[in-house]
Amino acid sequence: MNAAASRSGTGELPGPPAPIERSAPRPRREIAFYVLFLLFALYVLVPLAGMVLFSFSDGWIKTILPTHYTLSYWASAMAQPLFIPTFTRSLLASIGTIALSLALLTPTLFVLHVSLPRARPFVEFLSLTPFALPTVVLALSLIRAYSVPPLVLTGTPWLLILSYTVISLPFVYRSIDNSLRAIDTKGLYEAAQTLGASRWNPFWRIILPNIRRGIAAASLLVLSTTFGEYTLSAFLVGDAWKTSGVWVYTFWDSHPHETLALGALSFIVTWSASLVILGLFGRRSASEVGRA
Amino acid sequence: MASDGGWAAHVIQRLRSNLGVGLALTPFVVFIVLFEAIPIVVLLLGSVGWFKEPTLKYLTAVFAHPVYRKSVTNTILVSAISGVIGATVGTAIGYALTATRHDRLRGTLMALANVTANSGGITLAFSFITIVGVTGGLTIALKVIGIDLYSFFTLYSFTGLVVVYVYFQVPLMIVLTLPAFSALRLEWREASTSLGGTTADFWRRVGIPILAPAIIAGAVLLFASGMGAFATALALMGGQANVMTTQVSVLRQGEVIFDPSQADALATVLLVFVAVAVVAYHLIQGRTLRWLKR
Repeated sequence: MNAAASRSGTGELPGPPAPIERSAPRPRREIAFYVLFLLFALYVLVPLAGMVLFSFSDGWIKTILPTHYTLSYWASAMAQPLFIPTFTRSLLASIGTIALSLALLTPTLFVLHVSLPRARPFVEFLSLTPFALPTVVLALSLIRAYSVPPLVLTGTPWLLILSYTVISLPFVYRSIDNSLRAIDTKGLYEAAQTLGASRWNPFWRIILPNIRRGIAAASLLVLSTTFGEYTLSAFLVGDAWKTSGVWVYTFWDSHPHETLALGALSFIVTWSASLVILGLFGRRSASEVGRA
Repeated sequence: MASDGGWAAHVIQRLRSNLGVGLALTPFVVFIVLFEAIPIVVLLLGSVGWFKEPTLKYLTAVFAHPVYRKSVTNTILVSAISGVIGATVGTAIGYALTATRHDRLRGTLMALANVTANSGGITLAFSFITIVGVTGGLTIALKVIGIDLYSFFTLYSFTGLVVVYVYFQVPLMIVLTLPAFSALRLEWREASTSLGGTTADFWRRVGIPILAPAIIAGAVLLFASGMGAFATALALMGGQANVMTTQVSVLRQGEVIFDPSQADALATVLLVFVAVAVVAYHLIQGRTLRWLKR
């Protein structure tokens, strides 16, 4: 950082080699890191805390923290007639998306790893591109293409699941591709072949069981991006098949506390599902999930 | 992809020789064609009025009509500002996470970054209202110590949008750039030091040149994600947020103005902006990959 200062300090001759990073205790730098980490954690956690506090608070207008706490908003949120149907639909859409995206990409990537490694950049490009595709653009183009014969899909849950699958491709691709790479898919497959297995038998019996953690990670990422999603739901199905995201948005003006109770509930559902799935499919730190 | 020019011919040859492989790839390719390629082509055609009467008036209106033009400049401004802030802060935290000696803290914060990197949306915007809205906890807390936040800031504005976008862009930047930071080899630092280089020399001659492509590419992707953000803007500002995504929604779903062709044209322009950003991302990222692959 301050080249001139450190140069003049050591004189003309290079000083003794400075200790390499990490092994050297540099307390001042570590303190700066901790300050940075603290600020980051606060920025990320405070709004989440605000959401939870607000859902339990009764009267939080003129004070820093709520003055009274109540469970009544949670109770009232869940007693809403639309609560069960919209949350069920959102869950169904997410599960359908997980099934479809895994069914599309797992066999494809398996074949690429075993027989067609050179086509991988092509599939990778197609799978990762939706990451940057604005959901509004995707929604409009699907409306244009599927609101007129021969295939009318707008207003149906099928189009919603198909559109969710498009936006899920990047996450699923990354997770499955990383897992297939990590287990030496080609080696395992060829070993099975020399033992006389067919083409798909090793896929079901050897590859799938070995990449179950990648499959779990992919499912979680899909669940967390699609459950309670607003934009595609609002454009593609709207009131015809109202999901929790669309309902929660219209609910805010009249029932803000209940809305955030539902927001907190979605968050809890998604992340407790994560813990359950990760527990079932082997221990892997949460930090690896996103990188997958 | 460009460097691997032979893949197309190779694919065709292999498909011919191995029908089973071809069949296995068919569902994926059909899905992409049906639900990504065809819809986008239809959208592009719609934006030039192909289905009624071919015209460029919708596309030119995006830049000529004062409201749409304003939405274009607003979108670019908000995404650029939040992208630069997100990239700068994300890079600093990404570096700190790589260099810190506290391994458990690193794990926890990485998990936090992964959880929040995709968190944009309705609920996030509402959560911010409870903290820095007019009667939010932090707003009141600042008032208690004598700072009137709303005399110079309001969450329901473009500044507010930046504050909320940064929430998911910083974690996204951390997730995007961490691999590049991890690729900075300790030996390079050692080599630089043993040749007499200072910390500053190392960063100027080795560190920055290796990291720069990853950082710039990450910033470009944040910019693209900001351009596409819709639900967050809608929840904070309703129809008042004049950004391209909310304009599209007003034109497509509004009861007052309903003009699907104009909506298509705005969406097309948005798509072109994002496509340019993505191409830039790939070009810049190509430089980083050279180092990561070693």
